[in-house]
Amino acid sequence: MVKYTVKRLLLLIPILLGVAFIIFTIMDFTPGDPAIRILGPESSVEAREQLRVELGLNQPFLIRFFEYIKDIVLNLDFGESYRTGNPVFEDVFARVPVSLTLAFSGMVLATVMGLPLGVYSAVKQYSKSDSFLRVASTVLVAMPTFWLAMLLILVFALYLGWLPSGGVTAGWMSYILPTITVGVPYGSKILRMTRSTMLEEIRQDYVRTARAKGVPEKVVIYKHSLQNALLPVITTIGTSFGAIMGGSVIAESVFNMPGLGQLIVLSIEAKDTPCVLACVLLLAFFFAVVMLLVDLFYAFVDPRIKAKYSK
Amino acid sequence: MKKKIVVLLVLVMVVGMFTACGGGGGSAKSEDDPVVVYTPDIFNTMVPYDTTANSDQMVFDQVYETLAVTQDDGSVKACLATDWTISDDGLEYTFNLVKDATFHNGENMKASDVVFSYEKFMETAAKKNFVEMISSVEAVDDYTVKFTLSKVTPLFLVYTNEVPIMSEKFVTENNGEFNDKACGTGPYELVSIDLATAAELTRYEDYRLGAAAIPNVEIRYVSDTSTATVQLETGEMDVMKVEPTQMESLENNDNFSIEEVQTLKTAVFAINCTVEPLDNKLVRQALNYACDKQSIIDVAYEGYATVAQLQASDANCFGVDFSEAEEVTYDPEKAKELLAEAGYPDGLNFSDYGVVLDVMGGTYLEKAAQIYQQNLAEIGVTLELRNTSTPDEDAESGNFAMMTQTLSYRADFSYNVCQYGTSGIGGNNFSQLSDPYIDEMFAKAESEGDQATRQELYKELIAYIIDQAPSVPIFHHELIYAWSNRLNCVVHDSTVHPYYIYEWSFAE
Repeated sequence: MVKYTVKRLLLLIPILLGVAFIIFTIMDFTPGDPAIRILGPESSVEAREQLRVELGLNQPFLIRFFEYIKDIVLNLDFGESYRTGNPVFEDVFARVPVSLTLAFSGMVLATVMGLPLGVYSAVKQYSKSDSFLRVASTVLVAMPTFWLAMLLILVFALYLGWLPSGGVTAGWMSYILPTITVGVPYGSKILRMTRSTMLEEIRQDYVRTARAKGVPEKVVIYKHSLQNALLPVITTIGTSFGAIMGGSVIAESVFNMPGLGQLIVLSIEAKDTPCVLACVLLLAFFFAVVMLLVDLFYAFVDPRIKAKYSK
Repeated sequence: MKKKIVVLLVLVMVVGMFTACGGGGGSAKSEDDPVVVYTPDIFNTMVPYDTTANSDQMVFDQVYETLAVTQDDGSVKACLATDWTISDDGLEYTFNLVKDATFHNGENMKASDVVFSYEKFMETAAKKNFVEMISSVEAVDDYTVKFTLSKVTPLFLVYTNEVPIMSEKFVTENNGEFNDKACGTGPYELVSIDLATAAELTRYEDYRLGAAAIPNVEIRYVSDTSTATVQLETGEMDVMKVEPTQMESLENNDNFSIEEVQTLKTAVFAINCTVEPLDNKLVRQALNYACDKQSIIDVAYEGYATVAQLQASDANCFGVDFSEAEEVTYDPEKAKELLAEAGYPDGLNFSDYGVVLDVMGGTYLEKAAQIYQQNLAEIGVTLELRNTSTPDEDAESGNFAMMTQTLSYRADFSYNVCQYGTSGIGGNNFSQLSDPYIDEMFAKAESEGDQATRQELYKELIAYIIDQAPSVPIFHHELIYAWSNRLNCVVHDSTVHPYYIYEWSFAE
């Protein structure tokens, strides 16, 4: 198990190197001049040239990439943001708590909503409530995040005045609407996934045997069936967590939350390559670690997998 | 039954909790609560010589002061200077400074601070264009500063508005690293700033002209304009620049005052005059007469703009006088005649020449381009639209034939040499037009000391430029500002310096 974990952690190095190279290449070869983005269209040609030299943009692509990796490996230096002049990790880490809180609360909501409703929907297959949940989950998955966010703001901030419309100054209250915005679509996905895997499990022979032996229905469903149905659901939860971390751009933008998604968009607009790279590398790292945790969690859910890891 | 009662009770508790804690609208603000001002741009840094972001400038305008400020009519008014003299050759400016200005750290503002601030701006790239005409700056005594210019230009005075005077002691103590701090002589002190969200200001009680009426201010970045508008409606925001598309929800609301201000910014269809058949003046003139600018304003910009003849307006730009220029109005028949005269009596398909109109997708300029496409179709001209994400880079490199663009100008027509003169090619002269007469007239007017003579020269030049039709100017933007009725606000016609909060007060 430890050997497997170490192996997976070591694999992170080539993954992160590959991600860095791809993002560096994309940022470099997409049109747009950081000097113009930073200084504005009114700036003089001389000023732009001076800035290019200051930022090292006059060096060839491969040398710049090599220098970038060298600084990371030798000094853990991810460079300075073109936009703010701060070390990029200062800017990036200042935003991690917001994104992590949003991703975590979103995932909790999605899981709390999706898992029990998915089980209920499977157990009550073809009932009115099952039909309602299937239709509702389809609608919620298909609903554009932007629209849902604006709807929530209009109802709860503008008309009812119960919750703040944006920002993070109101503490945990600020997270309620963004959490619903990011959590509900993923909750619907989890619901649908749980329903389909549960439907397979409750038709298995061992379930019939358990029922025949007189095991209470709750134990049959929640202990025997659900445990076996959980593997694909855990994968969905894990990937959803990663997706929310990096993909809550719209929620962060509409709710004016200073998170990583908002920073990536701003940095891409400003052609702030060091900042984009730092954000994406951090997200890739988070995603890889979450997926590793998901794989390790399999072992606790399914003893067969634990045995495989041990080999 | 018992279960239902429990569920009902929980629901009532949750609703009660939200109602009690809600940050939403309705709650009356006291005068000590900060006045919240919206900015659509994120903050970059509080180092004045390292940033061009409008949001940073919005903070600087409250915290710092400059030698002089440009007023809405284009004239320049003394601020930290009491007055100034200009040498006969126009190359030396001597400023006498006020003696009672103190920085927020308690230091008296002296000529050495002015010299230090200007030298910092001259060393760094970000705002170099505002000081590049200065060859030296020196302190004559504690309250007198002398600038020597490398060329005669009236823009030097206009640009003093862009150089905040910093405390030398403060900058040196912080080794130039003060991303989240500021120390000026302005009416507000910077209490704190989170570059990702908001800046908090409080009035400087020892301000030389008396303490400001508004005690606390928060300049808040909101990334989405719809959210910002909702915040205005709920009372979380007090002052904001409103997008025309958001006006519908505010127009009939008595809780706000609304003011429209014409800014120094023009939307144009830029033309590359070196590309066939756009190198033909008659074709360019036809393109101008074919453009129904008022329809574009009404449809694409909700009516909040004024028709443009040039990349500058006579409403707020010194020396702009169109009285000698031929008025270019929407006239499809005249456009057809000009096309026929240019050798295209049966119309023109721009695709045959590889000419397309590059458009910034998803903006009002895209709508403007679509209407213009219809206008051109009416005179037999076919023009395809193409999306671009790098309009500034393409326009400056001349890597385009036609393009939607917006151009800012300054309160003095001499600035427009960068948009019409040969020296602007590779920069803001998107037309790539190199005309010795235009260059000569700009140079002549720039070195002319007498304002009336300068104005006459510009009048002649403007008539010539409009005749050359190097672009299709569409409209001058109007900005719409809305603020809570608890305030009396003053807004200015500059996209860079819209607010001096010192001028505001609470309504009676």
